[in-house]
Amino acid sequence: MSDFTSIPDSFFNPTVSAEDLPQMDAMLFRPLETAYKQFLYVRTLIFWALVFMGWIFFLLFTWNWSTLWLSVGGSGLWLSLAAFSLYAVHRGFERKGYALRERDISYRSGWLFKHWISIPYNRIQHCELRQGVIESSLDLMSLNIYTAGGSSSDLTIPGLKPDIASRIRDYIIKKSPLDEEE
Amino acid sequence: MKRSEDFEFQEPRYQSRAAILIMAYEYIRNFIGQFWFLFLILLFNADFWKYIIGLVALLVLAGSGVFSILAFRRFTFYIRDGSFIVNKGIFRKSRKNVSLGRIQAVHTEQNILHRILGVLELKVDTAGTGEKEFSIPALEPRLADRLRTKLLRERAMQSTPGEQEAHHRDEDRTEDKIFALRLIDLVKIGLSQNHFRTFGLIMAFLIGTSNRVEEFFNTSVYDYLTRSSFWKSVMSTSLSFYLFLFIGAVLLTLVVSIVLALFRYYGLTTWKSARGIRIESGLLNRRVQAAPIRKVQIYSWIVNPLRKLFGLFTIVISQASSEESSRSQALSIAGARASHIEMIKDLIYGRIASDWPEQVDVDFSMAWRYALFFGLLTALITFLLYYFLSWTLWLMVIAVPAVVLLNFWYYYNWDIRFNADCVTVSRGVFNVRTSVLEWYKLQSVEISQTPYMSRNGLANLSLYTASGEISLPYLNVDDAGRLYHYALYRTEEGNRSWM
Repeated sequence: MSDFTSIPDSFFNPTVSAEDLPQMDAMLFRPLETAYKQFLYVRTLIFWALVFMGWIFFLLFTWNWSTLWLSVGGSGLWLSLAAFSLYAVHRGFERKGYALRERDISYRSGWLFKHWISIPYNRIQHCELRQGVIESSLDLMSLNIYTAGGSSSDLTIPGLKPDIASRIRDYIIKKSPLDEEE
Repeated sequence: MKRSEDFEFQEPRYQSRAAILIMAYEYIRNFIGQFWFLFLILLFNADFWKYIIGLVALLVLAGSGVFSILAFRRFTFYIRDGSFIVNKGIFRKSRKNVSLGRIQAVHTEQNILHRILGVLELKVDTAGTGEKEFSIPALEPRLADRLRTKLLRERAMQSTPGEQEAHHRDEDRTEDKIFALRLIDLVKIGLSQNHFRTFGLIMAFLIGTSNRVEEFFNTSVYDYLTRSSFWKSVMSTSLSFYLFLFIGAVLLTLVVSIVLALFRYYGLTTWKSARGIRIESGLLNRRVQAAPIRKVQIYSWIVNPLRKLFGLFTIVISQASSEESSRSQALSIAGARASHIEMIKDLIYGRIASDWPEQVDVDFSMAWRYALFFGLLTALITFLLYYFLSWTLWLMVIAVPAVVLLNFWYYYNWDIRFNADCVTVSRGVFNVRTSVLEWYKLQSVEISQTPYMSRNGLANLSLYTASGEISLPYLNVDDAGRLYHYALYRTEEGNRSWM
């Protein structure tokens, strides 16, 4: 690639080296609160518990001794999927993180399927702080950042301490071109 | 001393009587639009229903007439205290009120009926969310002009000098016609439409209604058609019967495609002015689309193999919009030639979109991975069809290689080039779409990797704009990363408004 894609030194957007994909320009990603990991475990467990309950009901209604092996196999399948989900939460959590730079905000996530997304401050339409029921019991908040690019272009940073979340939001609002809506 | 025209619109007044006819026409058109298929089905049935249809038609006509007269009596408009006020509605009475300072533009439109009756429709665009447009269905031309002048003059009195400057710019109505669709090209567009889709719709319709038809006639389509000895000899075997149906459906598809194209694209004309680009098209219903140049987010053109033969392209100009409406907000020019593509591209981008010195490649692994995935999927589906529904296994023999080939063709059509200011991307199989977008207009950027990509130094790069997303798949991860950060740099460095 030619020189034009090199970014002038005078462009002040400080980054700090950290371990990441070696080819991707390094950004310092701050991890989420460890309590969020509990939240994710709980959510995953609830989901698989519901699935398993549905499966048990199904078995009860269609019980047939001759297909015992099918029932056992099916149960085994759900259990291993559940176990894998929980493991994925564990591996995925250490990759989750957000990066605040001078001019943009980024979020990294994913264990098997990796994502990095960045939104420049001057493209932020508005932001919201959200807190679900379980999240509030763990004292966590999510920060949602909306752009004009549709929902896939938006960014959500979960698992933040409430005061940090509001500080980030205030910082972003100051930096972005949000003014009084008519 | 106030002149008489200052008082002209202060009292509520009616629009032109022609509005009655125009509104009646709208009601009838809507009714037909909703229920045409019902009529078609009823038409196939016994004579008894024909009386019903006649009765219904009469009721609709009479009803439209009555409603239109009532609506006409309820529709009044006037200007008072710095606001433009419209009263309308028979059952849902409403009074719309817009402060004159918020008026963006006032323009007039005519469809066929307007032209016959010698009236205009007056439309008022306002800023802000909510009800964005007011419309007076029918006014005499001179009255419309006086109203327009009055509205704009009142608006000028209410706005700041900066706004007035912008208004003057918007007022510059001198336009250059830059494109007009020729009739012969219109026919070519009809012939080169996406026939598969029309064909699918027609087949669905035929299959859906053939059952009911057979019920009412108490016979099968086959028996009915073979009553005459000529057709009987043509369709002596079931193969020739199906061939006959197939050819019939194909011909019907062509005719329907051409007719639909005629209605949609008739008289398509494009103008450029200081305000941007405006497109008018349509036979019965004249559709007007407009976009200021600075609101353009993505500029694209689409070509399929049939259209390529004719040398015709479809240009699509996407503006900033909300997700749901982005389809309808995009301006499209069908039947354009390559020269038009360049001309409009220069209009929007100037010189910055002419040279593409750099290129990134989509990795070849995408081709065989997609081919593998979709090929296996097709094999599975065709096998299930064979196993459970006794469809022929030949379907698999034909479909799987076809799917594999299509995926390689899809890979082959990918093309990504860029320069310091914009990027141009081509993708697609039959409908190849080439899009140009400026780096600085992006809303956000994203990189994603599947496990395979992580292991092989590849990545997807997603570019998000205010009118949609463009995903660049299977790029080299270094290229993806560099483009990612360059895009952020271009978006963050200046204060240029992206719309």
